[in-house]
Amino acid sequence: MGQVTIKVPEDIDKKVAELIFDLGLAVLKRDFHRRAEILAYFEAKGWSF
Amino acid sequence: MEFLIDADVLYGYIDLTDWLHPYSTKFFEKAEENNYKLKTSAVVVLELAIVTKRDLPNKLFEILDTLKRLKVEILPVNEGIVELAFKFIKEDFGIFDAFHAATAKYYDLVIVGTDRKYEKIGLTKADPRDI
Repeated sequence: MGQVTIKVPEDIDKKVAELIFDLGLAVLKRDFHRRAEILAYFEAKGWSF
Repeated sequence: MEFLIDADVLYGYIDLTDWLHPYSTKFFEKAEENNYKLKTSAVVVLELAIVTKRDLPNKLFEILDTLKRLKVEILPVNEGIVELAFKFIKEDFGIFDAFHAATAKYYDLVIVGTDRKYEKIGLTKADPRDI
């Protein structure tokens, strides 16, 4: 498995940035359950993007 | 034959642009022709609602009507299913797939979906691409 490093601005929460990256990856990999799990986490936290 | 329909197959049916759409449509046509007993779980509906709300908000409130039209019964979640689901989560399943696997196992249903994990725990899976 390849590895990538992402730099995010300091005012962006690292955890959220990682989740958004994960979400993009789940869409690309057609992993419906992982995609739903991340969106559910956002929903449960009351975050909307 | 009784089936548990996974969220990706239902989403594929709802979203006309989804990669699974042609396969999902064919599966439901075949189910109608052959009088298959179709079931899903409350957790599948929750998962479907979460993704639909985000990606197809105008279709969110059509989910229940779609399930009724497709004659898909919604099964309840109980303590036994939750126990099984947590066992599967310990075995590295995601939250949703663990609940779907537990529901299929509990009610002894063939799971209709594309996730490869289900076979690893001895469930019978029907992939709509192969039907």
